[in-house]
Amino acid sequence: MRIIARSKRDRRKVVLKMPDESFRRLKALLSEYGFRLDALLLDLARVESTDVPAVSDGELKSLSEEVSRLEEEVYKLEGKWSPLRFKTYYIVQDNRNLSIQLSGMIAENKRLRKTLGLEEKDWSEVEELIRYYLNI
Amino acid sequence: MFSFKKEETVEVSVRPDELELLKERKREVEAILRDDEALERIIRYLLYKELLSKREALAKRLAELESSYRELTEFDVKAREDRKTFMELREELRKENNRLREMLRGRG
Repeated sequence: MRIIARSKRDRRKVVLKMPDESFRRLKALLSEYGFRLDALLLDLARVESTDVPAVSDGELKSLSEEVSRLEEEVYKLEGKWSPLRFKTYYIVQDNRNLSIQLSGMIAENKRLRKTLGLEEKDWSEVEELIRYYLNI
Repeated sequence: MFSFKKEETVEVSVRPDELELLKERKREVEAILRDDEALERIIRYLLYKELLSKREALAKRLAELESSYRELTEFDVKAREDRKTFMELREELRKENNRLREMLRGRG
């Protein structure tokens, strides 16, 4: 059995030889563990030592379950986050519009009070909030 | 992906740098491919390492999402309160400015 690795860019190649029986076994393992042949060959080429620790079925199962649980949590939270962001965006838009209206109304109030000789109100707190929304 | 060209040959496409790596490590890779026991042990180890790094990336993503979600929830509450404040103030100012305009007209 020959595995030919060809370069995507030129005509160079590397030929790997293995017994037919081992290749049948390799195909079964690729299918069982969900690996692609090209990716596995490269991983094998990067393995520094063949003396890697044996991983038990239990270790693989529990880690795989933990990964699935985390994937589900991420998926759920992403599902909650997007609609909330959408709703908040529209509330901020409302606040920006209200800020524009209020700026005009506060200016008018200041002008009317001055003309009428009335004491000016302290708008500093609300003006700060208005500036915040107009600068978002 | 791989395709069957002849019955006894399988071809894979790799990048030039990956081809160089396979060329350099050809003998070691062939040795593993011939050793069924080592091959399965290494595949399981690779899978385990892949799952470990996936778990780490997911845990990091989840922590980031939880933090963003918490901040967004707090911001949403604050923005709703501010909207209420703005609307109440707009109503108060509308009434007061009307009253002040009336006063000014009365003077004129």
